[in-house]
Amino acid sequence: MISRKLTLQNKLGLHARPASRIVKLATRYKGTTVELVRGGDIVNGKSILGVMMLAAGMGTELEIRVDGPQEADLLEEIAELINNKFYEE
Amino acid sequence: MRSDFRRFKDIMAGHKTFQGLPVSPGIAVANAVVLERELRKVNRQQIREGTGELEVERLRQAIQKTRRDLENHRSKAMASFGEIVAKIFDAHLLILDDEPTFDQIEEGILTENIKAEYALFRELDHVARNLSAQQVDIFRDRAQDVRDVCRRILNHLDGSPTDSMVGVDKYSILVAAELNPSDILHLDPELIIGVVTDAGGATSHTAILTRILGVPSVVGLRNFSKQVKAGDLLVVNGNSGKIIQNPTAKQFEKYTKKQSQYRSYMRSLSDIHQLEAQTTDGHSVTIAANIELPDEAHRVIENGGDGVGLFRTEYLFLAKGGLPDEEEQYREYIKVAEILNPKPVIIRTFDMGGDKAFPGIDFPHESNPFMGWRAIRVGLEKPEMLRTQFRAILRASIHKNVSIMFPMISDLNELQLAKEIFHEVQADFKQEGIAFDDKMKVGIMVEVPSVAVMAHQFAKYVDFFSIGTNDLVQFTLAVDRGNEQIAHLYKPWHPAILHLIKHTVDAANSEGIHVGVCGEFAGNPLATLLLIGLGVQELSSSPSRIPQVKKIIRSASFEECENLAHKVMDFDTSSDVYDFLLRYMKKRFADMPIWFGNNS
Repeated sequence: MISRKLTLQNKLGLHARPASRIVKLATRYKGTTVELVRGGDIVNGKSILGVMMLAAGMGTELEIRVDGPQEADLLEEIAELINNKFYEE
Repeated sequence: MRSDFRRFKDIMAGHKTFQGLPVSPGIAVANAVVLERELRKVNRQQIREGTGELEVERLRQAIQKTRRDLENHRSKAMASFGEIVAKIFDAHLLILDDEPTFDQIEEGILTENIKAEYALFRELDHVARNLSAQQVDIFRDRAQDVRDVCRRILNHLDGSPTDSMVGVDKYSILVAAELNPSDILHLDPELIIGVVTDAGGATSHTAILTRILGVPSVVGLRNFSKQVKAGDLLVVNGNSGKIIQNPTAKQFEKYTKKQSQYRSYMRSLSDIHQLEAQTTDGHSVTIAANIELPDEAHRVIENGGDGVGLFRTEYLFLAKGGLPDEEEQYREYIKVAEILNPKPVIIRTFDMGGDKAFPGIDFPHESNPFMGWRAIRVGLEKPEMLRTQFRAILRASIHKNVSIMFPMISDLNELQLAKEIFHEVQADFKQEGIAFDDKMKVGIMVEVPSVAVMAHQFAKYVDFFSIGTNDLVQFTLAVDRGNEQIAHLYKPWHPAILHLIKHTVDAANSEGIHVGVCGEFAGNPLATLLLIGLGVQELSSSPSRIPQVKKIIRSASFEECENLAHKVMDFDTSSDVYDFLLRYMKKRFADMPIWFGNNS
């Protein structure tokens, strides 16, 4: 299992569309699990409802935990999405 | 004494009136159907040991059916309203795709031996509650989607009809706390003849969609839906916003008559579509429409409109949930331009801010948002956003029927800055070799009093004015139009407003530029002759208002309009103006069931 802390920089945070981009990405990696951690809340990164329930707005720090055969690749891709503001701004 | 007695009797019979916001015109009298929007609680129920697999299979089939329903809604929405509305269903479909959540529900069924209904409800209700409790509305609003999906699956599980409108077999008025776009898409305009909701404003989904369908509608009634029982007789007045619950026999008779008169009158107007909006002495006026969705453009044509006087573009934001890119905007603009071609279309740049949150833009908290950071003020501080919109509008101008208009200009400097950016984008287009109409007209909304006062100066720098009465009234009279406590002070008939309109029109005429009025005032039949008499060249309001406005214009001479305007301009108070016009127009058009209303 590897993990990294990332801060959301896009204005609306993990609302529907950015959340669905993370979920779609994570779902492509079968056999690898993703967890998003905010404070005491841990959600499954492959669940759109889970990710939305974090209600993570701009400036929120999230810990991304990835576990599985392609964990490094997936974590890198997620970090790229978040750091590039989901390519929306 | 007698009237007291009658009032007493009315109260005994449950007769009550309510005032809401009229968003789609017309009169409807029928029994209420009340749409339950809350999620019914499901109690824990065990299943027999070993039947879990069957239960899971039952759930999967219900989900499969729900997915089919939603996909059908999506394509139905696409066909009747276009891509923007269709996208609303994507959020629902995304929820159905949430594998971990549904895996967990299935696991609950198998390990705890519980019924599918309960396992589903337990999980999704938890999610919905969690989302409802969020501070930020973009998360909170999603709770409604989760409940909607849950209800749909539950309905398939117990085999009850999942689409709310099934079961209505006679003329009815739909009452709900709030409506989803899917509810409205299912409403059969032949049977649902009125819509009433507790929530919503003039730009809510309910308002927009009922206007397109031509169903009378009143919104913003607070907790009305809790006070109505299914089967209650209701009168819905989509012109005035008044609702009567259990009307007296006399009221029932009066409004039923009005309803049928209104309908046959509207039918009688169908032959006016192809005729020009011209007075009896040959003075021509442009009767255009305000639209919000590209597909409303068809309604403009059907109603015989001469063009689109105001294409509001904010809906693109709301539907997308973020800033639309150039390509997305272009697709919407070109669609309208092509439907209308060769008739003109005025596209207004984003008027974001005010009372609405716009996803993708960080609005500071403002105590007076209507006078705050909105419209062109946001655009000038975010020139990239403005440029993107300019590019999309320019690309849509290839048929040479598109004009551009800036909202909320208050100072000449803002106009010049906006025009500068516009010219830069035009220069880019030339360099990039992209086709566009280099004679595109540029205009402004006249809605801030400073612009009306200085109209003679502004007229030198634009090709047209469009007087936006909704904001002009609010700013000139210092009356917040959302504040119910002072709603009685919101008077478009105020002499100050009429003088500002006249001043603006005179300035436009002496510079030889085009001048129109958009906003609800332009569609108010009581104002038609007055505005024409003041020299207004174009009236633009809801597409459904077009035939009536045309009919009034075709019944009068320009001379009559001018005399009327001349007389009205001498009045001192708004009630003098209003009372005179009401008397004059009612008498003048006594043979037509035109609704001249009782509140502006």
